[in-house]
Amino acid sequence: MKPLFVEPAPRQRPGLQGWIRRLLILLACLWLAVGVLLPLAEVFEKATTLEVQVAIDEPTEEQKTLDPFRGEIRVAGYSILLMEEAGQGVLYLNNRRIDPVDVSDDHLQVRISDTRFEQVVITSAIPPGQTERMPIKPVKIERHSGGYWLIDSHPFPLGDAVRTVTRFIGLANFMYYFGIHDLTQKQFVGAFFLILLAGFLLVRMLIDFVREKPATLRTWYLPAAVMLLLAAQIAASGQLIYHHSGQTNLAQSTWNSLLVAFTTTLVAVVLAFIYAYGLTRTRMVGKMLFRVIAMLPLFAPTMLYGLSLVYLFGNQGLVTTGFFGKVSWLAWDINLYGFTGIVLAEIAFTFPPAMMILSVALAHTDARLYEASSSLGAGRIRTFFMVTLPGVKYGLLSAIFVCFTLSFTDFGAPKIVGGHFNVLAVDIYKQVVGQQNFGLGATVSLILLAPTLLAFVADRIVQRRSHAALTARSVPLTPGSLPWRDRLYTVLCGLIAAAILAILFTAGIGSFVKIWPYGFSHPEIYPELWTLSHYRFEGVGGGGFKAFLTSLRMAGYTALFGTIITFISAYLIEKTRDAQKLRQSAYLLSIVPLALPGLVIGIAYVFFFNKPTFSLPFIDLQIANPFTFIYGTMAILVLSNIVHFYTVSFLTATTALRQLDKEFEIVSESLAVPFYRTFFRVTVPVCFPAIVEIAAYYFVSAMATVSAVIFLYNSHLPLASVAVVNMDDAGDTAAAAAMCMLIVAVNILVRLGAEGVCWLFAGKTRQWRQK
Amino acid sequence: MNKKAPKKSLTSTDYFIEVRHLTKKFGAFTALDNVNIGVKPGEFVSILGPSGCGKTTLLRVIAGLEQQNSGSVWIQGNDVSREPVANRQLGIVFQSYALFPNINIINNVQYGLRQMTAPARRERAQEMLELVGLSDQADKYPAQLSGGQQQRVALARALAPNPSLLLLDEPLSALDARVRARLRGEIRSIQEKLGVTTIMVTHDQEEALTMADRIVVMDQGQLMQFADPQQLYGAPANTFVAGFIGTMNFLPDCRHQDTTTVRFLDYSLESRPPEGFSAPEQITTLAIRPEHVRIADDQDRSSNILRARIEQIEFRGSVSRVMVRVLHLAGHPSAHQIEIDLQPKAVDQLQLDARHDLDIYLPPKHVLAFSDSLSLGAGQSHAA
Repeated sequence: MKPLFVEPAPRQRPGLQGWIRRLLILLACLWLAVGVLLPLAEVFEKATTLEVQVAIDEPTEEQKTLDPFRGEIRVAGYSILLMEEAGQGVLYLNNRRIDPVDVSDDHLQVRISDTRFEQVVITSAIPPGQTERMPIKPVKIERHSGGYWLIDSHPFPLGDAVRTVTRFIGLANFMYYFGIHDLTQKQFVGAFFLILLAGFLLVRMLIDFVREKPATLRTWYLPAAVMLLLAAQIAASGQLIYHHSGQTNLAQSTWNSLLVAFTTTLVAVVLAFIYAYGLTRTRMVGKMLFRVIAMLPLFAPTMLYGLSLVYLFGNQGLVTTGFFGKVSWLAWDINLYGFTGIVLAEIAFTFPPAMMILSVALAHTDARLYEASSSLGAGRIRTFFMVTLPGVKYGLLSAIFVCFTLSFTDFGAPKIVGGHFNVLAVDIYKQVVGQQNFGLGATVSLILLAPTLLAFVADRIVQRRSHAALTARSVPLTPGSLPWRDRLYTVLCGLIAAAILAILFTAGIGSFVKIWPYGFSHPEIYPELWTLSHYRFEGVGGGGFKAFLTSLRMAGYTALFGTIITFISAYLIEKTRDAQKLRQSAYLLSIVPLALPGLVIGIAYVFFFNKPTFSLPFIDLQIANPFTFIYGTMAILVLSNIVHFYTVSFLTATTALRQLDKEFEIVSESLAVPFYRTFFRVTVPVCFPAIVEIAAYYFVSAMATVSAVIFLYNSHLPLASVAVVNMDDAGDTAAAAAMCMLIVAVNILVRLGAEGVCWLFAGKTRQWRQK
Repeated sequence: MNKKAPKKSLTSTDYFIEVRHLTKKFGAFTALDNVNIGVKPGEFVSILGPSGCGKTTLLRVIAGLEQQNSGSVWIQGNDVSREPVANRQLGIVFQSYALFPNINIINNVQYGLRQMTAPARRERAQEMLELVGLSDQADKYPAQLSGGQQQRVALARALAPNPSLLLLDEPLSALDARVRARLRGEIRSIQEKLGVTTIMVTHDQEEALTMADRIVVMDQGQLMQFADPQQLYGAPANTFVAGFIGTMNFLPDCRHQDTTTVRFLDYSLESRPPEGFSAPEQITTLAIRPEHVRIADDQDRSSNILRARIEQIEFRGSVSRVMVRVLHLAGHPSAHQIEIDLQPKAVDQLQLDARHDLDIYLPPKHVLAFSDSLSLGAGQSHAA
């Protein structure tokens, strides 16, 4: 019966529509590759290469008759000048006369014939911002017999005064950053990976050893010996690196950032847990109001928290001066500028997302577990540790990762209240914008990216395990009445909510005060206390209203194009049956942006969209970069925002689409209805609330963000959030606060508008939504 | 886009739809293992089997929703293996109805009628709604209808473009028992009225037995038997089908003495002649339905008598099920149990109760012999 030779069935023809779908998914992959992967690769390249400038200056025959100048070659910080003196070529190296015979030293070789340069070879260079020369692959500049110049055997175009050649320098920037000296890169990498490898093996062995103790007890000395060797290896490699590392000011920022992130995470998660617990597990009053207040910080740029803290605890702050000397015994200087200020602002910044994650986790619980726990005689505390905490552990971990990532990478708050306390995010800005040191800027971005990526990967692993914690048969938990607990949580949440309101709106009040603080403390000199003048943005930098309008435009475009791209991509990835590999790659690419801090996106875009040519790997071919035209336009701002906020929107769309019957597509396919018809007639209308949600999220985020766009704006396209930073830099705190308030106001309006649209939609579609 | 006519079958058959040597693998798991089926025009065929047996995969391959690894699907003598779903002219009805929630009933039904003019579309949709008895619900939305009504709308929508083949994927599983029973008859009568060839996947044997002309029984990706309901019940092809359809008593580890004489424990039993050759001493499994086992009376003193002890009596309304344990000739209990369906009246008359020993008679014409060993699935089906 069974045929001897089984011929594989011919592949099903995808049909025209199948091809259209594939093409669209491919496009989604491509734009993400251009918007995410290629720019990121550029950051890696910038961090690991050194740019060597070469300039060649040769006099014309006419000029030669006028003076003895016979040519100058400037390369990698050297200036080699050739003069004709008494019919002989004479060389000057950095204005110091040298003998043409022994001109070769360790770094430089110059060959001249008569009064001409023939060849210059340089084997070392100084990376920008550093002091020591480092060896590089030789840069060879030679004169071709045809009368033109060759650099690395490539002809040097005439009239092209300066040419940049790049040299791979590996981890030199990283080692410089962490002050590792007198150690070759190979030694460093070797030692580093030995530590990782030995550490991994040691941990695995320890786990096995503890778990399977009885089985291996008889030969315990063998694993013990191996573990001892591994530990010795770690110690030896660690000591090697430690021995060759020195304290640098640069690396201090890394530890500062980590310290800020850990402290913020600890405090914010505890506060968010208390707040979320109050909202979900007690019967405290005013839950709706508390929920709204907790979400408010989402509408503001992070600079706002910094500004409010300045108004409260800064040198002229409300609290610092004891309410302007009125209640001077209450005066309290918390030394805002630096660690304290940053952590306070970051807590406000990370609180809303942590609170949202935790309240979802706490709300999704099974009441039967609590009934079982109390029926078994477990007390309140035991139940908390045995049931409540394990039940929310995935949410808790997620909240921890989010808080860590956000506070580690935030730029706005440290910029305002950081003082001399350097953190990575501000360092990147200083390196790139202040010192134009792109190599080190890229290096610091990668250092910023590393813990973020780790947290991202850890979160993905954790969330993959978190499925099926809640089954269809679960019974939702309704908290019982317990007066002392309800009152306690009302007070606790009330305090947190008051703090949020203070940190949001003190700057708002400040923006209406004519001269803070003297209007309060010396009313006799400054009789006019309140004013709207700061909202006119006169005589301040940053672009004023134009910046605000540009931001509105940018946020509008981001919401429009972002929502369309996101929803269509999510639809194609989620609702296509075949082309599995393509869909998986597209999904993976869609998740990656979540791991990228805005600053890294910004700096990557500066590098990528400025790069005139790509050199293709392995073959020596240069092609022009077709994307440079969007640099300095609205398009690059919008693109950076869409990428920055893509993953959250994409996951929102995916979740909404998964709630749709997966057979809709099959039914329309069997009815021979094209997929786009069903998409517009069924998918879009049913997912409309999610689409509005995505658009509002894009708009609000684009209005408030500063990190990506601060590298990309220009004077033709000033932005409100960037204006806040610039005005604060210039000391115009009140105007900066006023701009923040405008952003908050428009964001709240947009959010209310979105709610209104959804409400109208629900009213119109009540008929088909009823169950 | 496909203007080229699909290639014609070389062997002309009178099958409307045929699948040949169909194999489908998901990684290491074989969902379909060389399955061959032919369905005649207008026939109602049900695919039946335990969950994970590959029945839904078979339907999806026929529909073109899954790509087979080898083998082919033929509709009306044309190889459609490479055709996408849209080109196969079929209607599909799912367990979840998959009605578009934001579109009202009449528009749901006319969703697939794009080629017609608007009035013709509406007329056809109204006609289909009348067919399923829902013409007064045309302007409502799916959420406003009951589950049974929604399933009928889904059927109307699938039938509206006049498909040549109707595929039903567990169409009644989401409904409650009473609605399900009524819809069975309705679907069948609509199918007969339109004469559309239909394939239905189900895990409910009662549904399959009452609705289908012929039934495909599948297990672990393999075709177990393809026959009409009577044949499946009366002459199952193997122990799996025997155990899966209805209740069956199995007497495993028997040995053939000759073609129809079989040794079981220390008894010698006569059976219906098995299909295929059976050598002496070949291991065989005997099977008999509970309703065919009788309490032996004096006329049956010849053969096929087993000594047994009653262990339990269950009252089941129209019948009582008596569970007995087979005893060795010497009188000690064996490992084998047999279930017997008796009229409750007979139980009373014979004054049967537990621990009671008696002789049971297995009529030779009802004793089936299978050369395959008892499969796991057959044993499980007693619970069903």
